[in-house]
Amino acid sequence: MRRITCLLLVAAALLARPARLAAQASATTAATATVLQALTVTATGDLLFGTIAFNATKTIAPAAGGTFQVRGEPGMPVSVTFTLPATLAHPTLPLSAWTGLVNTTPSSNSAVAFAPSAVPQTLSAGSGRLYLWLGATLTALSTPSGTYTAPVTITVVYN
Amino acid sequence: MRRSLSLAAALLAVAAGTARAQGTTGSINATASVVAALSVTGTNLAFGNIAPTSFKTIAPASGGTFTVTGANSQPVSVTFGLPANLGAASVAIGSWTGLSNTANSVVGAAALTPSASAQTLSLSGTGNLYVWIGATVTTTAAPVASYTAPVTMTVVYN
Repeated sequence: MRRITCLLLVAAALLARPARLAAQASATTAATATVLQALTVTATGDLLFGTIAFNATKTIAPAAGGTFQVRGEPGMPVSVTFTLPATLAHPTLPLSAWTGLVNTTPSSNSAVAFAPSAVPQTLSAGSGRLYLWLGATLTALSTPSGTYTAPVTITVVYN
Repeated sequence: MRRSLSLAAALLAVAAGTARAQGTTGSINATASVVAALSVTGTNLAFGNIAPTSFKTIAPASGGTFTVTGANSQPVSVTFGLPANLGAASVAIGSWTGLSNTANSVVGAAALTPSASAQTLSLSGTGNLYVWIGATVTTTAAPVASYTAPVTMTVVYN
């Protein structure tokens, strides 16, 4: 009798297992993005130093310098970076002291100063347009006579 | 008579069985470790604004996050459900990157590649695990709109 009773007790224990706590959990978040109007950048004027003599320095203020026009989604901030040449394609023609102005209208009057750089800067175009002016200082060392040129690049992305 | 004999035989069998149960016994332990339930919460991986044909990368330190709580110092297996796009083929997402740490800081966090394949991580001494994820969105002539897709992390005790 005792043996049968023991078997029954074991069977009861196996059937009455305690409930298991949650050993698994998950969470769902979201990856989001907003596609805006395409950005366009137009180079509207070169940075012209004109004629420079040997061993001379010439500075062009941004209001008289190179220009870019940016168009994109109105009211959206953009990040702007510049690739600025160290020289005018010759080691004796170093470029330095870059300066800039930015405005949302095509006038350098009341434009805001900024420092062109490879470091991203956030600018905002309430009307969807930005106008930028660039200036710099060119130093001619013992440079052979000739015409020299180097590219100045602006890159604009939405923030 | 037959019935009496059968009853007697049954009683004798029970008695014999009773005599055998009085022999030597041994026992083992049935054991289990009950640990705290796991929970996971998350925050979005937001790419913000992007042009119709462009790409944008969000590093994990600036990306979405998952916070896991559970039993102290327990190892866990982690898997991810990752979308291939944000609801449209023209807004693809990929190049997933991640970080994990037992402290709520990316400083000192270990690199992690989010994947559908299980990876083993460990909860901290106080039962916490922090995960950051990043990725790259590539748009190809995508229509102007807002896009979204779910990113899921599942955690189980090892």
